[in-house]
Order: sequence, then C-alpha cells, then structure tokens
Amino acid sequence: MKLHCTLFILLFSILLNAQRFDFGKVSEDEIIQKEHSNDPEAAATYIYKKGKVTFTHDKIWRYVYEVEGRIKIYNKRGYGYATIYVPLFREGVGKNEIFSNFKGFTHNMEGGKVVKERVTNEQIFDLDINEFWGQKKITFPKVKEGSVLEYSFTITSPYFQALPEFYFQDQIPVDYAEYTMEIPEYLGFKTHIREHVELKRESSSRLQGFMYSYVPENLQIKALNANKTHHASETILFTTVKYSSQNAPKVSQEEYMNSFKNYLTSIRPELEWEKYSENTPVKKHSTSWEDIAKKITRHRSFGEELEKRNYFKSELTSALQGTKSQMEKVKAIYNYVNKNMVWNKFYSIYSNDGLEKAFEKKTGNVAEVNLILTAMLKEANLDAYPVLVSTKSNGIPLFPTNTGFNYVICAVKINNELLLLDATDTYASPNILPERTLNWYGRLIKNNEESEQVEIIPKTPSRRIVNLEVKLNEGGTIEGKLRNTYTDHLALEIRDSYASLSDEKYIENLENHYSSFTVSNFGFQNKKDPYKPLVESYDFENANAFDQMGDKLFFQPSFFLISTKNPFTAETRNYPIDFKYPLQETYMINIFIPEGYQVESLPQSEIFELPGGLGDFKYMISHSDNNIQLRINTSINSTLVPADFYEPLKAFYEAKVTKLNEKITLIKI
Amino acid sequence: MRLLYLFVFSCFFGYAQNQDFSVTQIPKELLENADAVFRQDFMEIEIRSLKEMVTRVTNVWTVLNSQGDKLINPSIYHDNSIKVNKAEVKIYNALGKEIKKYKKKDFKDRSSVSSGTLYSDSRVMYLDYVPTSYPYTFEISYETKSKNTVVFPNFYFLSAYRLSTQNSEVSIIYNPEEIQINTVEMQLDNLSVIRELKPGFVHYKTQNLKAIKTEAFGPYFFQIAPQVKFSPQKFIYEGITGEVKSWNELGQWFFNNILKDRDEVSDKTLEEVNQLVKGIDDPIERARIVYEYVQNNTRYISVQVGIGGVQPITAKEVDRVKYGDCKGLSNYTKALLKEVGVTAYYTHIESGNYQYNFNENFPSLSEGNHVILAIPNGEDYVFTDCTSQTHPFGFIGDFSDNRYAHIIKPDGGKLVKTTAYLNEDNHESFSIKGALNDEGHLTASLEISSRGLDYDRKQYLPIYSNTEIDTHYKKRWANVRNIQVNNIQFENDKREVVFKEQLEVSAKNYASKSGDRFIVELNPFSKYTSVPPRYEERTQPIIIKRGFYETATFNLKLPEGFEIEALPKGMNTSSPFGDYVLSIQENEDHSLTITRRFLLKAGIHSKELYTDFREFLSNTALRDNLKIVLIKN
Repeated sequence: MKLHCTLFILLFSILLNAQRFDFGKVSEDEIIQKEHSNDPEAAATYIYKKGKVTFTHDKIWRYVYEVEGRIKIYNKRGYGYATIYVPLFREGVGKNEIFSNFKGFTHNMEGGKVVKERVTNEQIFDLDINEFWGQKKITFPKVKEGSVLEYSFTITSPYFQALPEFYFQDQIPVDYAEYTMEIPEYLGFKTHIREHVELKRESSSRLQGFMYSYVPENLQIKALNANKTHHASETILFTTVKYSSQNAPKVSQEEYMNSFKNYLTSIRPELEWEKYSENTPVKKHSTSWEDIAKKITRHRSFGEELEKRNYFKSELTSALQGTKSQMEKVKAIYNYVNKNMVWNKFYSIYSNDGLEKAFEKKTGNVAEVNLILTAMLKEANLDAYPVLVSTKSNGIPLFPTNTGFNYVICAVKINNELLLLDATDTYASPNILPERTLNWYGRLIKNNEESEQVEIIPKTPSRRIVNLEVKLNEGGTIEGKLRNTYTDHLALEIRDSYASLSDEKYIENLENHYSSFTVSNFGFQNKKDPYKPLVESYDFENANAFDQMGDKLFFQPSFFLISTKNPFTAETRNYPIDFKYPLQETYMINIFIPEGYQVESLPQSEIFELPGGLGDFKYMISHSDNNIQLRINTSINSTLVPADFYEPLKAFYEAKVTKLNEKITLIKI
Repeated sequence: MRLLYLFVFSCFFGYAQNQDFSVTQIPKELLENADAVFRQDFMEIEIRSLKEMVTRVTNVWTVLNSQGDKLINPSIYHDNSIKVNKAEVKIYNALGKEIKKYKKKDFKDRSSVSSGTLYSDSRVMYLDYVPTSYPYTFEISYETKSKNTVVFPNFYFLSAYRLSTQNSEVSIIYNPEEIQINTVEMQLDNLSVIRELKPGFVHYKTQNLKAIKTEAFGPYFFQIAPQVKFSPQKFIYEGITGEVKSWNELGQWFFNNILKDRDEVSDKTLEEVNQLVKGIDDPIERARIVYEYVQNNTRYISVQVGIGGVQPITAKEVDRVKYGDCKGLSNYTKALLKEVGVTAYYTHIESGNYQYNFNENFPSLSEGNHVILAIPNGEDYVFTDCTSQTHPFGFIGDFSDNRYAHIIKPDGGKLVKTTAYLNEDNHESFSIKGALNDEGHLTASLEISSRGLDYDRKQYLPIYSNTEIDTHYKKRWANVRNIQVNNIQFENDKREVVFKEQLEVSAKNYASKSGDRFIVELNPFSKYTSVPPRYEERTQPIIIKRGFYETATFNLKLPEGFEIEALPKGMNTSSPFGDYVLSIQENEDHSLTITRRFLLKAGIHSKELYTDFREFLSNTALRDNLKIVLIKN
C-alpha cells in the first residue's frame, strides 16, 4: 500500500510537472511572481523552453522543428524578450525554410483575473536580411512588468543534415528546457553537446507507421510515368531521445571573455548516416574527422577547386622569380596573394564564385582568398594544406563536424615545422594570424583525405618594448624621447587599426589620448611591413606631469606611459579570462635628475608572480647622481586563464597598479 | 513647356558624361584633409505632377584611401511609393579608365530597418563593391519615381567631414502653374554659387569646396555645411492634397488630415484613467498622472508602414496592443488627456543631442524625426516625451531640449522653443566625508544629488542589476585605484527632478607612497579631465551648448602619526567661459575641508579665444589633480 502511495505521488508529481510545462497552462502564481527565486536580479526568465524535431519524407527529407516557450517578464529591462527573432534560410523555391503555426499569448493579471491577449498577424513581421537570410520578428501585445508570454511555432526545413542548435541557457535564467528528437530508423544522428549544466537523458523506441513519397531512381525502362511520385507507408522503428535541464543559470558577457556562445549549454545534432533497407548500403556522413576530410576534399567548392591551377600560372611564375629557398617561395606567394586578393569580409569554408573567378576579380570570401593561396603554394611544390577554422564569434568545434567550421586558413610544412597563413588580413604574416582566427584548434586537411588537429593559439609572446627618456622642466612639464617597439600580434593590431591613417591623424589621436601632450619628430618604422617589428618614435612634451611642492618634486616614474587602472574590477568571475596571445611588456625608463636636486626616496625594486607560472611582474629601479633608471617587465605566459585563477589574477593587477603608483621624491640640495 | 524640360535634361546629362575622372584632374587643395573627393554630386528633381516626382542622381566619388570607403554611399532607398527605375555603377581606376560596370540586376535589395525600429517597409538597394586598390573612382547613377511630392531631400554641397567637393549641382524642374517651390539657403554666404531661380526651374551649382575637419566644442556639421533645402507649397502625400506656405498652414493641414479621428480609446481604459485623476483638478497634475499611467502600461516599439512615416497608429490600436512608436504613444497620451479634460498638442521635433532647429521660413513635413507632446501651462508649455519608460513628466533631457519644435494645434501650427537646461540647471553636488588610515587606505561616504541633465545621466541606475551598478561606479571612478562601492541607495524624486545617490566607498592604497610620505589626491570623485586638443589653427567658433555646475565639499580625516608636509594653494578663477574655485582648509581635528565649485557656462565665443578657453579647462584639470603630501612623524 505504501508502495502504491509513493508511486501515486511520484506519478502525480510527474504529471503535474509535465503539465506545468505545457502550452497554455499558465498559472496565476507565475503572473503574480515579483522576482526569480534563484536570481532576484533577473530581468526575465524562461519558465520553460522546448524544441522538438521530427522528420517527413515528401520526395525529399525535411525536418520539422517545433519550438515553444514561456517567458516571464519581471521588469522593463526584460522587455527585449517580448520580441522573438527567427532567422530563416532561403535559397529559392523548394529550398526555403518555412515558418508556420505561430501561436502566441500575453498573460496579465487584471482585476484579480488572468487575462489572455493573442498575438495577431499585425505583430508578425517579415524582413530580408540579405540574399540568403530572412527573418521573422514577432512582438507581443500588452506587455508590462509581470507579464507571462507564451509562444509556439514550427520551422520546416530541407537542411536536415545539420539541425539547428538548441540552447538550454541564455542571458536570462532558463528554469526548464527540453529538447526532443524523434528519429526514423532510416536516419542516424550524432549529437554535439556543450554541457555546462547537467542534462538529463531519456530515450525510448517504438514501432509506428511512416508515410512517405518518392520518385524512383535508376529505372531500367523509361516507362510512361516513370517520374511519377510514389506513395508508400511502412511500419518502422522510431527512436525518441530527450534531453532536459533544470534551473540553468543565466550566462553573462564578461570582459576578456572569448566567445559568449562557448559557455552556453547547447545541443546540435548532425546527420551521421542514412540507410533505407536491408539491401541498400549505408550512406555515411561526416561524423569522424576522416569523414570530414574526405567530404571536403571531394567537395565541388573546396577540394575540386584546389585542383584547378591553370588560371594563375603566369602570375605564379613571376611571383617566384628570384626565390630559392622554400621559405622565400612561401613568402613570395603569400605576399602576392595578400597584396592582390582583397577579402570581401564574408566568412565561408567554401568558394562562392569559384577560385578562378575570384582571382580574376581580385576579391573573394575567406575560402577563396586562402584556397588560392593554398593552390599556388601547392603548385610551387610546397607542402601546403587548407586548415578549417571556427572563428571566435562562431564558437569552438570540439567534435567532428564540418558545419561547425566557418573559416579556412592555410598551413605550409617546411622542415617539419608548420607555418600558418591567412592572406585575408593585409598586415598578417606567417604564424601571425588575425584575432578572429585565434580560436584554439583548427583541422588540417591532408592530401590523403585524412586530417589532423593543429593548434592555432600563438605560443610565442608578442612583445612591446618601450624606451623612454625624460627630463623634468620647471612648472611640472616633462620632455623627452620615446621609442615603442611592437612585435607579432601587438604590431598586427596596431597596423590593422592605424596603418591606413596618415601620420598627422595618428599624432592627433596620440595627443588626445594623453592629456596636455605634444608630439614632434614623429616617425613610424616598418609601418606597413608585417615581417618587421613596428617601431614608433617621437619627442614629446607633457604638461602637468609631476608635482612640485615646497622644495620637493614628486612623480610616478612611468609618467603617462602605463595605465594605472586595474583591468579586472568585477568581484567574481564565472568564465576563463582570454588574453588572446602570450604577452611581454618591457619598459626601460631613464629619468634625468634636474640640476640642483637629489633623490630623497625611490620605490623599492620588487618582483611578484602569478601562480602556476602564468605570469610575473618585475620592477627594478636604481639611481646615480644624474639619473634614475627603471625597468618594468610584465609577462603573461598563458592565453586562456581558468576562472579559478581570477582571485590571484585580480590581486596581481592590484599589486601592480599600486606599485606603479608609488612615487619618487626629489629634494632640492 | 515640355520642350524646355527636355532641353535642360539633356544638357545636364551631357555635361555629366564628358568628365575625366583621372585623379590628376583633382585640384590640389581638394586633397587636403580629405579621404575622398566628391567629383560630381548631381541631383535633379522633376515634378511631373502633384502625383509624380522623378529624381535623377549621379554621384561620383574618388576614394583616396580605405578611410574614404565609408564616405561613399552606394545605396538607393525605396519603398511602396518610391520605385527605382534605373541604377548603374561604374568603377574607374586612378587614370580615369572604366574598369568595371554594374547594372541594376547586380544590386542587392533588402529591408532597411534602422536600429531601434522593429519593422519598416522601407528597403535599400545597394552595391557590394570591394575596392582592390586606391585611389579608385565610384560612380553611381539612378533614377527613382515617387508618387508623393512632399519630401525633398536636403541638398548638401559638402556632405561629410574629410570629403571635399569638386562639382556639385542640384536642379528642380516643375510646372509653375501648378506649384511653387520654397527654397532656403544655408551657409552659402561665403561661397561662389551659381544660382538660377526662375518659374519652373531652380538650379544651384558650386565647385571646389575644401574638406572640413571636426573641432572640439565646434558647431555640428549641419551648422557649417553649405546646403539648400526645398519644399513644395503644394503636394500630394499618400493621396492627400496639401497646400502650405507657413508652419501655421502646415499644422492646420496636418491636424485636419493626418491626426483627425485617431483619438478614440476603449471605455475600459477611459474608466481606469478617470479613476486615477478623480479628485484632482489641476490640469498639469492630471497630465502627470496620465503620463505615468502610459509609462506603466505601454512600451516603445517602432513599426513604420505606409503612411506610418508621419501618421500615428490610432489611439485605439495602441490601447489594444499597449505599444507604439513616438507618434502612436504621443497620440494615445493626447487622447487620454483629452478625455480627462487636459489639452495637449502633438508636436514635431528633430530629436538628438545636436539641437537641430526648425526654420521659420521653411515649413516642411520632411523636417523633424520625433514626436513629443506640448501641454499648455499658462503662457508656457510643458513638454513631455511619451516614449520614455523612466523620465519624469515634463522632463525631456538633451534629446529634445532648447530648440524650435512645431506644435500642431487645431487652428494651425507654430514654432515654439522647448525647455532649456543650462548652466546651474545641470547641477551635480557632492558631500563627502572621508578618512585616510595610516596604511594609505581611504574610506568615505558620499551623498550626491543631481539635477537637470546630470539627473538624466543617472536616473536609469535603479533599474540596473547590482552587478551592472557595481560596474558603473568602477568605471565612473576608474581613477580611484582598487575602489569598492557599498551600501548604495538611490532616491529618485521625479517631481522635483532630483536624483540622489548615497554610498560608501573604500579604496586600498588610495595614497601613493614615496618612502615615508603619502601623496594624496584631493578631488577624486568629480575630476575634470577632458581638456580639448590644441589646433594649429582653430577655424570654428567655440560653442558650449548647455554648460553645467558642480559643487563639492570633501571632509578628509588624516591618519594619526602623519603630518602635512605640503599643503597646496587653492585657486579662484573667473573667465568668460565659467568659474572655478578650489579651497583647502586645515581643521583643528587633523582633517581637511576641500571645497570645489566649477561652472561651465553655455555660450558662443569667437575662435580667437580658443587658446584662453583651452587654458581655462586645462587649469581646471590641473587643479582637480591637486595633491597633498603627508609625512610620517
């Protein structure tokens, strides 16, 4: 009896739970609720969200994606969630994603009663974003603080090989999320999961009728009506897989964070195989790195394009003129492509117009630019390979997938060393790639249809070396010479932002950046030569740079140079800190002691370190009768620092900032 | 008459096509301070009838470097009433040789929805050209046909900073028996302009205008750029005929044709509103209550379809969906006010910090981008913005302050200046009690009250999350090392429009050390730092648009065991630009009282005074950075 009772309660609560997350079952409590029980600061919450995928076959496969959710709006900051955006891919009739069955309601309390307002067609808008993408925008009526919104709609799409990504998390809490797939036995899917909150998995199978239609292929006899659509029905096995999460917290963007998307729990299924009967062979899709390499090598707009080499023969010959070593050849070809091909700012792993056409137009997407580079290198008998990359904005592909990549770079092997190249950025150079590509790993596609993982994150530190000479004048003004040397990624970032500016404009920026700052004798060395360090040098005068009080002078010895603000101010940290690349900064400062003064006090030399060899800070100071010499060195050796290290990292910067603010006192003799 | 049109037309295009676009043909002075050169900026508007307007444009730019790419505009805007007939792009190399040609079918076409707008049926045709070398020359020519004849584009002879103009020409062809054109010239005084103004034909032409640079505290681009504006005195807009020669007539037309019969609201809402104002007689108080009711029950959503460009959706529709754009929400509020016996006028205005003024001589439906309400209060008006979720009633901030707006009354429109927030109106006052300990750490409690535009900058704080508020203070006082902010309390007095902050602050190692000394900053919380740049040659007058006033008293307890080694002198300056006072007083209880007053006055000064102005601000920044030296005894 007791057992029954428990069972009953259990069943009842399951039932209750199930009902709570059904469309239309909005409770009064939900509308009355003033704040989220786990996160009182939340502006809104998903009480639940669901995605369900089923399949139909009407000559071709389509997936049917049913989406629904219930959103609670706590305050005005949450009003943004009262508009839903649904992107739809459209390539033409028969290839468009179809949006249908929209239902939406706003629920409010009015005079102690729940009042429901329906979303009508006037609140559903259609936009063209570009030639491939459209967007539905739906906004709810009668939204106010406390409103509960419900929506459901269906997307039918022929792109069944890669299903849309479902997110169990958002920038607001998600109290309950559920993703279900009902897969017919003809199809096999692999699911890629990012699991930051725990997902509960359930699966079951059952036999069921499946109606479908098809046009028979390979008919021996071209009989009358051979192209006719056939209809059929079979009883087949369906497997239902369900993933669900409870009480997923919100994810917020933090400073020094790589991609926000990498920290959302999500699922994205990708087709693994198709099999239609005992007698037909299994048609495999990319699910292992080998499959991907094979597929991409044979792809019309990738591998096949790479094999065409005639269109650039004469340009290649002239580019290679006078080159001897392999390294010279790589540079010559890289420089040629970099100078002559302009990236049109589109990402893709496939060529759009074909490489030959892009070559002729001198512009193309990422794949076109870097595949031309790869093809030319190959033609010059160099060991060159395309490397698939997922940009920072695209998230990190941790599992075999070809839809997870959106970018191609090139790799060349010289003496067993791998050089990475990206010709889309004017100031990039071998192994110095633009920031968008610096996303952990890429996948190098070998000649034999195999692939291997390559690390893209830079290992050698980018350096900034500053030489500063300072003279103190009357009235708080300093003058001196400054020489700034930047290497690698630091140089690339500066070139990308400033190389196209005139020196005049650059000086203006510089003078505005520091206050009361005047620049003369300005010069850049190697402003546009990515193979050499970027050197900036100038003379300066800076008013109000030190304090004169009584017979003493006070100043902080790095003057205007080093920011004395801690970049890490938040009290806590949830996600790793992304420094992009290892960093070494060295400041060598020489301060002339003005006539008639001597040193009264100097800060002490000091060294401190981050745990785990992540980085260190060195402050070495000394003086003679005429001058004070200071050397400040900061190293950050790791690019991605785990959130656990936030406390010591923040303390490290705090100590650094305090140290940099210590002042020198000079006294009149 | 027809013949004349044809003649002008062929003349125009014949001239356009005989140009040599090689870079060597650009006069040297047009390359100074320029990232691109407008080689030809030609626009011709032909008003064929009140229902048909054809616009022909030929724009040719030579782009000198990649910064110049964003100065060219390869887009053609259109919608249900504007059709694009022809469109073509040609690209020339530095020698002026045509290297590429694009036809209309090569253009891409998509929705054109600006940020902040949910949906609009306007669309844009654009050409995606990726330049492969510099300089290059980009020519776009197109023709559009519109069935509305009310909105004419303003014509700028210089169209952006760092863009010079070689040839610029605009003409309007119309039938003088059918309509008249109102023309207003702006900033054309010192230019050599060829004008032809005769019945049926208006023509302006200039050549060789040098590029201009931005200057801090200078005028806005539209205030210095030479331009000419046109508007028809008779037009058809979405099928409605209008004839306007003054703002008064425009207002009347608008009231009778566009706003009419759009103020019906459901009985239920009326009952609610009537309940709320029960027992209150003062119309301004009633308006306040209704305004807050609208704030709490609606939200801003902008949907622009068809006639929606100027016509509000009905009050009934806003009442049903509880959202709307500036037009819809203003009209809705106005309808509710009418119900409770308060008169309010629908008011067109150009919003934005830049204080664009409507011109008394240029009544036009194309002026303005925003709608607010004007509620008569004696001789005056209370202006209020119905799109704000948070603003106090009658407070419009720097989004719509101090500029002429068009108040639309049943008996006609008129231009009235909106509320100004000047000088002492924008008052931020600090009262700080702090203590420094013998390790150099600071603790302080602050009371800050803000009025006017300072109120505006802070009033949104309470709706932020704690994390966001924490970030706000750490950014605001980033100059205070290791700052921690605790016990934050806000008081938002919407009636008096005062925002009060109360909080406690601590900062480890606030004092910088130098051996046995502490060097302590005396004005950490209201530091003025933005000294404007030096210019070799200042070309524009100095404009301080609004001004502000800051006051602070800071009582700082000094640590035991330390004595003052050097106490800096205060300062008391008065200048045409404002006043600055800083005084430091040592008290008996081993504490200091620092008093600061800074007034920056709104006003316009000649460019010759720029050095003085800059010195005033740079001295202010210097004094705000004042430090005291303490030494261990």
